[in-house]
Amino acid sequence: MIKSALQSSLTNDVKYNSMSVGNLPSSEYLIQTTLVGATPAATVEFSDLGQYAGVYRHLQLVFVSRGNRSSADTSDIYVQFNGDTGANYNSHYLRGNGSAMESVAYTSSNNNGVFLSQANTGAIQTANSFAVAIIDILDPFETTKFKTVRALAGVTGVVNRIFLHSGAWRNTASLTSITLDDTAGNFTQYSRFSLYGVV
Amino acid sequence: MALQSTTALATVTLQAASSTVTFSGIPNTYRDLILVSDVKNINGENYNTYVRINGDTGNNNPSVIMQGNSSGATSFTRNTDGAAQIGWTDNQDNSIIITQFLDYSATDKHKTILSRNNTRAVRVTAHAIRWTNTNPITSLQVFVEASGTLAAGSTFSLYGRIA
Repeated sequence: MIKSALQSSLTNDVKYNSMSVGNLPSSEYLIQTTLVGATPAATVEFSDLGQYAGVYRHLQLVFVSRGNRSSADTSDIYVQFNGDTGANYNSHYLRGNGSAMESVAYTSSNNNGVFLSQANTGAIQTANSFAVAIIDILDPFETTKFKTVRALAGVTGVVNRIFLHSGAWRNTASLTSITLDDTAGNFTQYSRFSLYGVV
Repeated sequence: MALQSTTALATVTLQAASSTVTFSGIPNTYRDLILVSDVKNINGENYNTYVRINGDTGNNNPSVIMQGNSSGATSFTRNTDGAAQIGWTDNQDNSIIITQFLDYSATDKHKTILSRNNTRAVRVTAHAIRWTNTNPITSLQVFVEASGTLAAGSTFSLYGRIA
């Protein structure tokens, strides 16, 4: 049992003096988690998402990943929707590298997915260091709008990065799949990818 | 049936000013922790605000930070404070700090942490931090630099998320 050093105030005669305060209603639900085992994975896919149209309003994708891109400390990731490899994505990021700020835009020349630059580690990133990202996909099942994506991501080690990403899939189709693709390597063991639905 | 993913574990609202707030005995039954801090200090503007993990006082929290303030947008690293800096607070208005400890209970990796901070004291920031330890996180202690003090009324809510 968790013991908080300081107790919260009495609210409606409920005193939180224990971590076991009971579940509160949540609007977020776990859909699926994929863990990469001993065999590296070139891609990670969440499919059959159409069944969640009308159930969830938004999706959130969380990953903790490491890659094996040879002789590199970072690697890029595409977030692809419905298998679309066309020039139908826009991506932007604001990035801090520990000494300077960068701002970059990728336009329709970018195929394969929303482009998350340097969002994965490469093989020579510091041992045990994993890149992380929290990606919000807003209104993915709406057929009246393009799909907008935003992300907070980062990693530290021999290379340090902190990102704010935004992107769009210029298609009004309802989302049926999400594929993450390390552009120059594979996702390696202990990487984790979780998809949540938000009502 | 889909599982509700997030559980509120504890909330602390300071009835009086305090030097620290600690969540201890955190179970390893979740995948991520989320700490939401609505916080003010009694000391002044732009006070570094930290989380110490598992009582680790070593410089084991390398971080990269980007910030925007009236001088522009900058990025820097730090690992000299004996704790993970999650943001800044001031003594005029509350700062909002949302800190996510991803895979906190895993024993196969260091712990990478993302934190976002919005404070009236001149800046908005985002942090990536790595606690260089493969042990599960079992305690979190929030405090302010230079033996500062967290103000009464500050709230700290800890959530666990499954995966």
